[in-house]
Amino acid sequence: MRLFGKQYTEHSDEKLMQMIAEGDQQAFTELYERYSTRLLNYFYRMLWKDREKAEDFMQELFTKIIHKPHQYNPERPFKTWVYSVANNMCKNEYRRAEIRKPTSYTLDEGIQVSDNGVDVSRKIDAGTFNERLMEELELLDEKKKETFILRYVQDLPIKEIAEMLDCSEGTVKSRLFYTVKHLSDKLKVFDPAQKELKL
Amino acid sequence: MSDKEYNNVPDIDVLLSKPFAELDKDEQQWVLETMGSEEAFEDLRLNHAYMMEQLDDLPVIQPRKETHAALLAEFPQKERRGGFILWMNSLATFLVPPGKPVYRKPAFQMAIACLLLIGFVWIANPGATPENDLLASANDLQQELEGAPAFVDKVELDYELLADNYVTEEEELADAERPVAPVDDEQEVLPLIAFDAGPPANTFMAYEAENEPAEITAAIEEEVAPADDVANNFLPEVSPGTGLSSGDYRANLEDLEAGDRVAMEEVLDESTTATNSNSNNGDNVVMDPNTRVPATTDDKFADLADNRVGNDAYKDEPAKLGEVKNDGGVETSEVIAANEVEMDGKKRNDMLLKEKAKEQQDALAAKQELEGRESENSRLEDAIAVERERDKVNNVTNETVTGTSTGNTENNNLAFSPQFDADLDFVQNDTMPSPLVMPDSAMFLGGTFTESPSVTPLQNGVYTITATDVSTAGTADGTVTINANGSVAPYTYHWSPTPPAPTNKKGRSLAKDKDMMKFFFTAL
Repeated sequence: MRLFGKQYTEHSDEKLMQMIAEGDQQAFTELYERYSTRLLNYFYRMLWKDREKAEDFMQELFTKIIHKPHQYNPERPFKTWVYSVANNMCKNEYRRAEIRKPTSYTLDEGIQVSDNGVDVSRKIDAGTFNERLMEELELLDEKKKETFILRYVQDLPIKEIAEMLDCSEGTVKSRLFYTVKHLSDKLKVFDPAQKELKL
Repeated sequence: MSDKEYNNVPDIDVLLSKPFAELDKDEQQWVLETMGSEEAFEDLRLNHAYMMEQLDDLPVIQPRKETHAALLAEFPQKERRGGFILWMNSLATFLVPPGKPVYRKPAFQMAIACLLLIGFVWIANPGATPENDLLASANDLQQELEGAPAFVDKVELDYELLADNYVTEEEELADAERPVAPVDDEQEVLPLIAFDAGPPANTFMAYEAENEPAEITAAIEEEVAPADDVANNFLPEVSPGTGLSSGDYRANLEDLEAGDRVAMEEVLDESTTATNSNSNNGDNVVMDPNTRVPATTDDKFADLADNRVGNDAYKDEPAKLGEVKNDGGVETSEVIAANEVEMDGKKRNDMLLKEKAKEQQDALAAKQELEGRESENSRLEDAIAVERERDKVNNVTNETVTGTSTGNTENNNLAFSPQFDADLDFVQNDTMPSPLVMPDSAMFLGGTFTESPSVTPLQNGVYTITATDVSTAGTADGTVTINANGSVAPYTYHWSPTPPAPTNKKGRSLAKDKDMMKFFFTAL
């Protein structure tokens, strides 16, 4: 509880960044508490669920905020800016690792939503739906993956995602539609319709 | 697919939130074009919903604490600010901790405790309210203004004492039997005594005409008044027994007790010089013949100042010299004691008078003790009247010096330095002849004149005072009796003013509030 002095929790992200630029350590702590978990999970999803790498990337991102706070443009929303930085870091990491998967990579050839009950049973037995979903996400191309994670994991609005990725909202919608459609086709083996989902 | 085409893509979340039947025509058209059938759309809806549900259940990893610590370590170290604010926030956190019910917060509990304490105090002492305190203060003030009983009693007591002093005839008669005047209720007896201590043994009276102090210069240069004028000028001259008021006298006594006798001795010297002129006839009237009020010290100094002015004029006008030449010279005598009795003791209460009388008696006792010690080595002071008369004819060198040693004139050794001419009519070891002619004034003025008298020491003078009060108010029948002994008899008593029925040592028919008695006696 803080009754006296500055109420950091009431400050916006942009104000906190301004205070960090002035050397306010408390402002940095507040900003860290707001975004550390989200960024860590983002990095975690984007970087192959590598916890250590995600921690390193998250720490590197906040280190940039500490040492180069003036690179932030106050006229731009901080969330958009920080996710853009995080996304660029992931892209760089993709390049370094040369593990970028082609968009054409699919499981169509291996896992067919077919009558092959063995495959279905294997998949079901292999893990839960989430694990399979994450696996399918890892197989997506970079743009669809980041768009899907930002939208459905980070719960960011389409408009902000468009700003982060420096594209139009229609592009984000299109990427999301085709990604969902693709994942639905790949995960059809779970047959959600038979699980009595109530829509 | 181009961006334009993308712009036609609906929001997938909105689209999949509704069944196909609820979609508008454009949306249905778009779904049929992209998915091929309504069933494919419905399957997509189910899978999307299930996917979102599962995504919500994704585990959320938390950053390690050391990561934050490592980041703070990299934060630029700056001067800590807001220490007091941090402390206040800590205090606030303690008093109003978040996440607790109100009744469990220390601030709330302490507030309740304070209220209970105040309530207990109020119940235990219901009358101690600010309003009651203010009312009590007002009542006290009112009683004080109207006259508190205790205060009235004291006032009445004071009046009774005063009434006893002035009204009761029996008490006045009883007071008449009192032997000592200073404790009289109506008369404030302030005895003044002045002892002419004289110079110490091997008296050395010297003056240097050029470097001497102003008073001594004035004493040398001033023309001593003729014998007839001494009586009139006596009061203005400093006579410690007569010229000083009681207050001044007490101040002098205090000074004497403090060891500062210089001023008093100067006063005594001047007084002796003035009184000795008529010491043989004993006709000293120590009062102002016009006002019947003794001259004050200020008057004395004023006269001294006038004499000095005259001396300055004398220097400038040599023709005036000698006009006040004193043939008789100045006689040195000792004023053994003097007393002053003031009968203006109205509105003095008995306690105050007794205290004052006791203080005076103590002061006199100390004075007498001091005089007794000093008198052993004292000598009668011989006054040497030295008068000069410039040669009016030549107006230059010749100057007449008249030296007269009076009083104890035995074996006076008079000497001039540098030595005068041997032809001078001056015999040492004898009374200085008169006149002594000094042919060389410069020689005299630049030298010193000494006298070493060898006389018999005086005994210490002792006096007692016996006073009787007036019998009744308005009756002039008070008496004051002075008895002197010691020193050298006979004694001569002088009263001022002369009482209606005077005697040598007893003044009678003294009236209250009317006669201010001043007396002294001399012994030669």
